[in-house]
Amino acid sequence: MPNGASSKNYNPDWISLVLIYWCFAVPKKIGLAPAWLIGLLVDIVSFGTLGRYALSKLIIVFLADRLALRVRMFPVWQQSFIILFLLTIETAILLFIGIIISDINFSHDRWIAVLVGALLWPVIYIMLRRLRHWARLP
Amino acid sequence: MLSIVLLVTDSKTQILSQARAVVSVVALPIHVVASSPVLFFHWIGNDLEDWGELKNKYSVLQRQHLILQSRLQQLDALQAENTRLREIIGTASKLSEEAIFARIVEVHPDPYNQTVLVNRGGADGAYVGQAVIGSTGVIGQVVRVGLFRSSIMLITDSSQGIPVQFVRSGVRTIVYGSGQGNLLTAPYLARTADVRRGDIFVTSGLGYLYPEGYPVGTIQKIESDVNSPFLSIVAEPAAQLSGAREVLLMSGNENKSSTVPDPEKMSN
Repeated sequence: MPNGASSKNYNPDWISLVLIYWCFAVPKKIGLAPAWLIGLLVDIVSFGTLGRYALSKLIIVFLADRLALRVRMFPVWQQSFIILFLLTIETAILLFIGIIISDINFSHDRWIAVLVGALLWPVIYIMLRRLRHWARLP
Repeated sequence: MLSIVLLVTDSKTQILSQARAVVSVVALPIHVVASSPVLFFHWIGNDLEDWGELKNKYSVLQRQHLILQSRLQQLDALQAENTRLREIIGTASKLSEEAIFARIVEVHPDPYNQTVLVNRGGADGAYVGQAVIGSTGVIGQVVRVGLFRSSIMLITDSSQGIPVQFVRSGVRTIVYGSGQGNLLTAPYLARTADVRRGDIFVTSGLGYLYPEGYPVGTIQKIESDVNSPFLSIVAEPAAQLSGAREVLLMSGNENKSSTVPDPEKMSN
């Protein structure tokens, strides 16, 4: 659980992981506008500079949609590499924006969080798939 | 495209700050839900404390209260004396004591900045650039204000700088957040400056953002490099930044804010 900002925080970006899952499960269904809105909501909730997460989530969903059909052929553990790639891109985007508007701390925690996200992907994938079948979603 | 426009307007201008204050109400239920597990555990922790422990705590608090009370009596006298002396010298004393009590919301949504959210916003009188003080020292400043929530940037964030003064030697300098963990740096002290390991520094009141005399940190490590004209100093903040739950938003500098450039820009 998060406890103040200065403690180490290796939490992966759960929202991105769930978004990516849905892109892989039902490609082209989320759409770019909802992705952008979700990102904007994250911006509002986090009191950050508006548009930062909106842009990163938009790009993540776009890329995940493009990759979806190919990725579905892979076994889950190989998908982890794709996740690693996607999360790295998102972190790079966020860092890049942060450096341009200069309100960021460059910290290695975020890269570790990317790794954690990729490693947790099989678990997340299986859990979300169970949840999806249980809820009888498409 | 739209997000780039948003990014630029939000980071370079103040236009969106009003809109943000209103829109941030949307975030309120999300914060409440997100912080509920933590609050639940605190609540359980508080409820399950046994009788003896509570009694112990009570007696400790009572003792502390007594000591603080006696110190306070002295303080009143000293303050009166201080004002009198200042009048003699002819400098205006400014002891702003108004503060808003705020609780830190147990949500940490943005891992890219060292910020925390508190449960006071524009509706409670919080404003951007307000100094935030914890029980043992300076915590940071308010950087964004919503209607019922505002976000505080900690002094350890790399974009934060505080004008400080060393208690022992009176040397003045600016202390910056290191951005790496829970540490501060003081990059502009000459190699001949009179500082030692363990020296305490407090806010100097220059810059009008932080009120004068609140503890900021303690020097932990000093390294002197022959090639550099400056010392490399690592310091530890006086306030418990990761453990704090209650803070005070000091409202003494509002009248000054017109003469001061935007604190966010100023600290860069």
